[in-house]
Amino acid sequence: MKFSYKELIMCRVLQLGLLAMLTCALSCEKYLEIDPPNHQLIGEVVFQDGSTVEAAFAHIYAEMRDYSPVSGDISGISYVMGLYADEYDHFSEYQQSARSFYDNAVLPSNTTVLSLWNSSYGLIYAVNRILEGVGSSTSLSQVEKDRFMGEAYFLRAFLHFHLVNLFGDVPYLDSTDYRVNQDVSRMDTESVYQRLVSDLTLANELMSTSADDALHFRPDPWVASALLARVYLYRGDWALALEESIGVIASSGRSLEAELGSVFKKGSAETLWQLDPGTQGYNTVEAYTLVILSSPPANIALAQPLLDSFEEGDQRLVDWVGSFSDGTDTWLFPNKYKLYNATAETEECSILFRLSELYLIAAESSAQLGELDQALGYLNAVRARASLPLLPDMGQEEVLDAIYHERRIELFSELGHRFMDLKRSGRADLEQGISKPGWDATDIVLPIPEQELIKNPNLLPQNDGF
Amino acid sequence: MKKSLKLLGRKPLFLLFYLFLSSLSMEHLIAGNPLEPPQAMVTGKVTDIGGLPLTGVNVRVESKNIGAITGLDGTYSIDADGSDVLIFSIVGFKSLPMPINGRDVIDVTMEESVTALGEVVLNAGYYTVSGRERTGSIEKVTTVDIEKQSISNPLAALQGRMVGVEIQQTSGLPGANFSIQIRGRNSIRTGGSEPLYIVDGMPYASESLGEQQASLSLPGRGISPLNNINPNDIESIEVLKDADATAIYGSRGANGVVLITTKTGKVGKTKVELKVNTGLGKVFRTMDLLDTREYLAMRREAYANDGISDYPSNAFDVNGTWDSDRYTDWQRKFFGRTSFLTNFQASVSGGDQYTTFLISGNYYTQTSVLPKDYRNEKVSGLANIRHRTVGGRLSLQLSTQFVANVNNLPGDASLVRQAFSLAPNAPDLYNGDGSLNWENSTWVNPVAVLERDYRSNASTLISNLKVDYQLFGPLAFKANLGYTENHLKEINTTPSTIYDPIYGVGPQYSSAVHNTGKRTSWIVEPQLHLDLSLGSTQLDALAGASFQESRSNRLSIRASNFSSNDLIENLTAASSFFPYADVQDQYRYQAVFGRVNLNHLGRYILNLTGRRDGSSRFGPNRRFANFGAVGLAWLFSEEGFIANALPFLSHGKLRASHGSSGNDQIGNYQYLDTYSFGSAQYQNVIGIYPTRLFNPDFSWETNKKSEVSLELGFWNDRLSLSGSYYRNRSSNQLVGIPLPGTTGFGSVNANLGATVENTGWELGLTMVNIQNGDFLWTTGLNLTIPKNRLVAFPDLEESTYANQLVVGSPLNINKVYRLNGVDPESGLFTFEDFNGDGMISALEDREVVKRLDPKFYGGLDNHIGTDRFSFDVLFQFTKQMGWNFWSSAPIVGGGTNQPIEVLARWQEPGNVAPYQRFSSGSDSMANQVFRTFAQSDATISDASYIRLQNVSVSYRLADGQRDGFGCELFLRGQNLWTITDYLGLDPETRNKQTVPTLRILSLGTRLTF
Repeated sequence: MKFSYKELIMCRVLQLGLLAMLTCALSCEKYLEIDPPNHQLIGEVVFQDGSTVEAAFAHIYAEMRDYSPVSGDISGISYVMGLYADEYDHFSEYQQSARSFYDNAVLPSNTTVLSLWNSSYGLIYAVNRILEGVGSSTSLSQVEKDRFMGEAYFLRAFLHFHLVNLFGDVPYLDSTDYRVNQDVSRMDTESVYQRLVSDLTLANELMSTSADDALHFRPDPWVASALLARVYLYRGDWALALEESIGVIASSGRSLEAELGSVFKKGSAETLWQLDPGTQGYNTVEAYTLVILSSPPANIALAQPLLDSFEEGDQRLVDWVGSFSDGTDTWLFPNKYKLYNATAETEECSILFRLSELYLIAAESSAQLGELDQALGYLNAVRARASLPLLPDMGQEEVLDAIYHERRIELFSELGHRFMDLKRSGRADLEQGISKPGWDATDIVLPIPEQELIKNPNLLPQNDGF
Repeated sequence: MKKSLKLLGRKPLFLLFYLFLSSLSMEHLIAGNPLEPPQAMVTGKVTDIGGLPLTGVNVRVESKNIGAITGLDGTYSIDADGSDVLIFSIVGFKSLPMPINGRDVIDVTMEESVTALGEVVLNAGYYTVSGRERTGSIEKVTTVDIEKQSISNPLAALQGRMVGVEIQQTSGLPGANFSIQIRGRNSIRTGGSEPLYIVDGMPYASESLGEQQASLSLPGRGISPLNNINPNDIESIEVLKDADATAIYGSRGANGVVLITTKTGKVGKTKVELKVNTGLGKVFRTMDLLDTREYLAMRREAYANDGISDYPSNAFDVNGTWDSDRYTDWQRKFFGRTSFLTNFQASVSGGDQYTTFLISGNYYTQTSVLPKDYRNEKVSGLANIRHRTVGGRLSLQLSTQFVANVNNLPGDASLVRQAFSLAPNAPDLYNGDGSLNWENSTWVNPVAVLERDYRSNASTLISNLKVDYQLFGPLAFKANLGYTENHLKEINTTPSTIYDPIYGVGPQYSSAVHNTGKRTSWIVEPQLHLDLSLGSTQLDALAGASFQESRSNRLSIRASNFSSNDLIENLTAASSFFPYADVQDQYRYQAVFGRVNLNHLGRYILNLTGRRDGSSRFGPNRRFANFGAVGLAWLFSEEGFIANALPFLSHGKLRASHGSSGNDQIGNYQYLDTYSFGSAQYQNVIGIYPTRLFNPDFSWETNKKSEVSLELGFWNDRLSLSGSYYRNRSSNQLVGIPLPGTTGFGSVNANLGATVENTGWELGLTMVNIQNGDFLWTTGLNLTIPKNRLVAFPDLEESTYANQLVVGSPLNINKVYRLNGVDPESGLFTFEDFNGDGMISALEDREVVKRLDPKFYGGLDNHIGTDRFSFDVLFQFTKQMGWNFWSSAPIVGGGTNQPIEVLARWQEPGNVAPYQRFSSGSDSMANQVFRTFAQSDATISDASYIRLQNVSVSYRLADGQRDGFGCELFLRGQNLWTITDYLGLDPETRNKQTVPTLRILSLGTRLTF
């Protein structure tokens, strides 16, 4: 066979070309590095810029508003824990899982229990992602970092706070690694509270008040203090609870809203933190869920024991309680939030922290410390607004009873306060506690979701009684 | 060159290339040169009938183990004794023994083998192999069979013709998808079992660029890109099934490979071919429903049973509002029209020994059976040019095809469903003036939805260049370079005129969904091929690399609140917009692959294939994986002792293969840690959230395939039998592994230790019943008996699959209630209470496992022909269970029509009846029981069928041989006749929401000159 010169050259060129390509095939692993997708953001990129971190927070707040333990719908704690304690009577035929809260017959397979658990840990994951991402970010300024980290520490504590109060011992998660989180064990309540306090203390140091957040859509250091005060109160650290609560009352710039009818308005003077409804003109889910518009009530009505406990002349029974009558029957419902439809401008937002709770914390911790005058001072400030007579001097037990009573009225239908108070004070089983036929001493905590125990046996044992 | 090789010596694969390249310097291996010192040199040239030199022909001295191969110019030289016999053989030609008789120059002409079944040349993707010598499992359908059918989707051509390949049409609407499953479902993920499509060497993405919200009327995954390949331009379709055939496709071969090869020009004078056919289509089957008299009797009985004597004011059908003497066959009205189709194909082809070409164009149009003028139109073109240089060293082949496809369909699929539910005495659809009749707002006019319109505009360009350069001696360099582009534009409009005018709804309630998608991809595959004769052993080897990239983007928007319905297709006339999707995807892929094939004496064949793959769909640690297979074949009929003992055995082969291939069909970017955009806002900021728990370490699904097969041919292959048993095990399943809530998510994409097994028998038989002069009658039968089984799934009970899968059962199952018949006393259905709690409740009592996979399927093919006349008939059959009419059906006795079977209902205590008493739906007990019935084992029943899938008759008036003019007339029928007991519309689609498959009859002519 003969080759022409031209063919020989061509042959060499081809051989070299081929070799180059094969070399490339074996060594150019870089070839498989592709551009990031345009419809998603790469995790690292999110934490290079303050505005994308803000968007990550926006998701957490929107999610808290719409699908979390603190949301105002029928799976939030305002609703189910109100039913679980003695605040509401249940009417809906369709809400099977809410019905078992009302009956105090919650099973580990209850879907609301599962969603309380899962939505909390879902958000805790998102918060921990922010903590890790912001912490290792090289392009955010220290000021930005502090603000983001502080807010994230606060949120982590806030979410765990509800978990520990609902479920008892729970895992306190500070990692995003699913290999760690998938077989965590439960942490005893005491340790959870220690972590809560340390997160909140950090948050308090790092957070700052933003001047453009006049509506308090974001938690600030005073909110961290407020939660800290609540935590100390729940733990019986009276001095610390008093210190934190007085600090908020004195220095947060908030004051008790004089008009009862304005307390739950968007511009209320006593709001420490409320959630933005997200869409212009939208108001709260609470009003949509709780206001009765038809007979029989679609969801709930206020239960008689709660209505009976209002004192004569309590203006809150007028301003914060609504009624619906179909001619034969009349039902009363929580009417703190009144607007169940959209309005031209948003007028009401879901409030998570407001100052009157801090007054009651200050009162209770003062009373516990024996400062009865001071306690009555704070308590009477709240009573006065409800047009109730000021309480005279009395003994410590009476003062404390009065404070518990006041909390029940002032904070009714808000975020399960009634249940939490009964629980922390050990009064749930007493006569003034949850005297419902289904109530059992072990009902003081919810069961760990069954499905979770199956997936992660390290969460065993189940809470007593389930 | 050697230096540069040493530098790279650390890569083990380079050893292989080193072997290749080093052979360049071995002068003595150059083809045609003798391997031993010459005794008596015989030389010559081998050509085909057209006079073209044949390269690569094996020349063997019969009595000795000496061989040679013809060179590029067809010449050979070999040393042989003058009294010996030379045997010339090459794939695709009849073997030719030639006694030397003392000559020293022997030129021979070899004849192509067309009829001998063992000599079929199979395209295995990177190489070709003869049917006789293949070690792998490859099915083939050629243009001869494709042309006999009136089809618009190439997959339709495979139906009933291949073992191990299950194909079903999803709808009788033009442009609908075909579902294909090669040797069963391998992946637990739905949608993870698609085969790899290769068109002329170019991978072709079968994923739709469509938007679900737009293509509502088509079941499945939107409009199929495979419709954009013209079946008339296809020369052959090969399906690769076993490890031996698919391992060279590595990570994408797990679900089989479908190779589509387009037509090329043939040497000879320029030939023009014109083909026209027109046809008519109708739905092949409708259901027997109640007529008005029976229907109204049912309604009255239902109300009587419910204790209601005053018919409710909204029961217009029975309370006298609607005419109780009217009767309309809604099935006929809604999908009873005739579909017209026309296909026009023109091609010019020809060429000389250096250059051949083919240019063809096609126009296809089909209307639908729906009561409006919907039309699918396709225009396509193919150009194929092949050139070989004078010396024959370099050859180039460029093929380019382009298809434009416009499909118009209703924007809503509900019409077909309405044909079953609408009362037979429902009012007229239209008023006298042609406007929609709303009958005083007593009904929602079912054809109002036809005001919704769907139009898709798709185009596809596939272009491919093949380069073949003969290097030194047995070594050739080949390259495959390709580019494809897919475009899709869809619009689905919903004008306010679909609503009853009484609501006074204007164009502000109109909406339109726009979707635009584009995908481009390219491929570069350089390869080295070695074709070497080592005495009596033939060595074929190849090594190559592959680089691919695919990019796609899609934007889908819903526009609403229009200023005018006339401008509904124009986005500027809308004032509200919502984006459904705005995505861009990139996919890169690279591989090195190789094959070594050793053929000793044409009897013992060893085929080794392997591939190392890298895919951008996996994280940096898991990008690469290795796949490989070994195939063995023993042609025992070539053994002397067998040839002597069984002289009637013309072909006997035992083959076996074992190996692995993989699956990377999990979508792009899944391993990445990303944030997605949410829909909720906070403080005017759209939230972003972590998309998923990212697992950078998930990896390929691997599929281990084994097969043994026996092929037998008797009496010169007049009777051929083949039987295969395969076992494929797919493990390392890529699924969302359930996680506890403390991780923040319900699952993470990871490789689960679950194993799915597909086993099966594949049997084929071909018989030449009569071959007498030019009369030929052949019969082919194929049968596949597949079995799918979930072998293992760790912690299934706790997983999200707990209610869908059962270990030991197939993947395609459903858990349903067990119907225990009708209680003779109450007249209501009763069910098995599995957990004995006195209630029939979801999950606990849905304990009956129903299998929905076919038990067996196959086809029976007959061909009778003379040189002018040919008659072909293909039956297709499937034995299976499927969802029937009762799945999610409304209550019998309510305001919807019913199949006539319900007349056998319970009427009074003591009756033993198959159907419960009629109820209007106001009896909550009857209602609830019926809902349970609609989820019971009664909804899954026999959906087996035998179908006369294809009949083709053709007659050649002139054969084109003598005067150059050829004329052929043909008549074709598709889906002509079906035997089935299926309770429902169509046992193939098993879907009452869509048009059943059509019976199509077409007539055509083909002219050549």
